[in-house]
Amino acid sequence: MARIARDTSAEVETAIPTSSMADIAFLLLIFFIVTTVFVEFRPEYPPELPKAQTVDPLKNRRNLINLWVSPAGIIQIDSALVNLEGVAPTILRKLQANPQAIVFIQSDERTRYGRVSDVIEELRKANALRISFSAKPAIPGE
Amino acid sequence: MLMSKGTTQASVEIPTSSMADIAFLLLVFFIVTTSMNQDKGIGMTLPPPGDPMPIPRENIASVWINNQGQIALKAMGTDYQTVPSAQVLRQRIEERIVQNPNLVVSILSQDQADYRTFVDVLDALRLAGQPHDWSKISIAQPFGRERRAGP
Repeated sequence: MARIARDTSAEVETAIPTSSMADIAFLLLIFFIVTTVFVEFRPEYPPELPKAQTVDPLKNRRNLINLWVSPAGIIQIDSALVNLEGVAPTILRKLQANPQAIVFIQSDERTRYGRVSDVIEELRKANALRISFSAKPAIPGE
Repeated sequence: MLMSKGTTQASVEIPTSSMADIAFLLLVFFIVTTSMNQDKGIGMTLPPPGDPMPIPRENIASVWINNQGQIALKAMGTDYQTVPSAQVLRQRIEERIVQNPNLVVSILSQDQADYRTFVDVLDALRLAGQPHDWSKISIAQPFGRERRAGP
C-alpha cells in the first residue's frame, strides 16, 4: 500500500505545469506586437550621420517624414526619390495626411550645406516648420 | 463503466503544452522584427514663410561658416573674429547669452560648407544655450551664390 502511494505521488511531481507558460509567452507577445513599428522606408543612399551632443529622441516613429540627402545631393522622401522642385508638393501631401508630422532630415555629413538649405527653404514653402536634423549622439569631450 | 468514466476525464483536458510553442514562435518573430533604437535628432522649428520678423540689431550675433569649414563670429560692436573650434564658439556665445538673454544667433553658412560643420555649430549653440534655457537660433540662407529664383 505504501509502495503504491509513493509511486503515484512521484508520477504527479514529474509533470511540469505548462499551461501558465503560454500565458507568460502571450503576455510578452502582446507587448512586442504593440510596440513593433515596421521599418517602412530604407534610404537608397544610407547617410553617414554627423555627431552631436544635444540630440533629443523622437518619440513617435509614425509621426516622422523621412528625408534623406545624399552627398551628391540626391533627395529621397520616404520611399520616393524627388528633385528639389518635388520636395514641397510631396511634403504638402504627407502633411495633409498627418498634420502632426515632423520632417526628419537625415543628411550625410559630407553633403554641402547649400543643398540642405535649399531643402529647408522648400520645407518652409510647404509650411513644414517642425523639422529635426538627424545626428548620432556623441560623448561629450570627444 | 469505471473505465469509460476514466477516458472521458482524460479528454476534458485541453492540451495546452503546444500553445506555448506557438506563442513563443510568434514571440521570437516580433522580438526579432522590433527595433528598439530610437531615432535621434536636433529638433528645430522654422519661421513661417514670408517676411522675417525685425530684430533689434544689438540682439543679433552672426556665426559665419565658409566653404573651408572655418567659423567666424560677429556681434554688435565687434568685427568678424575667427573662432578656432566649435568649443571656443560655445564659450563665446555663452558669455554673450549671459550678457544679453534676448540674443538671437544667426547661422550664415556658405554654399559649399560641409553639413557636418553646420551641425557642429548648431550643436555648440545648443550646448551654450542649455544651462540658460536659451534657444534663439536662426538659420539664414547661404551666402556667396546667386539666389535661386523664387516661384
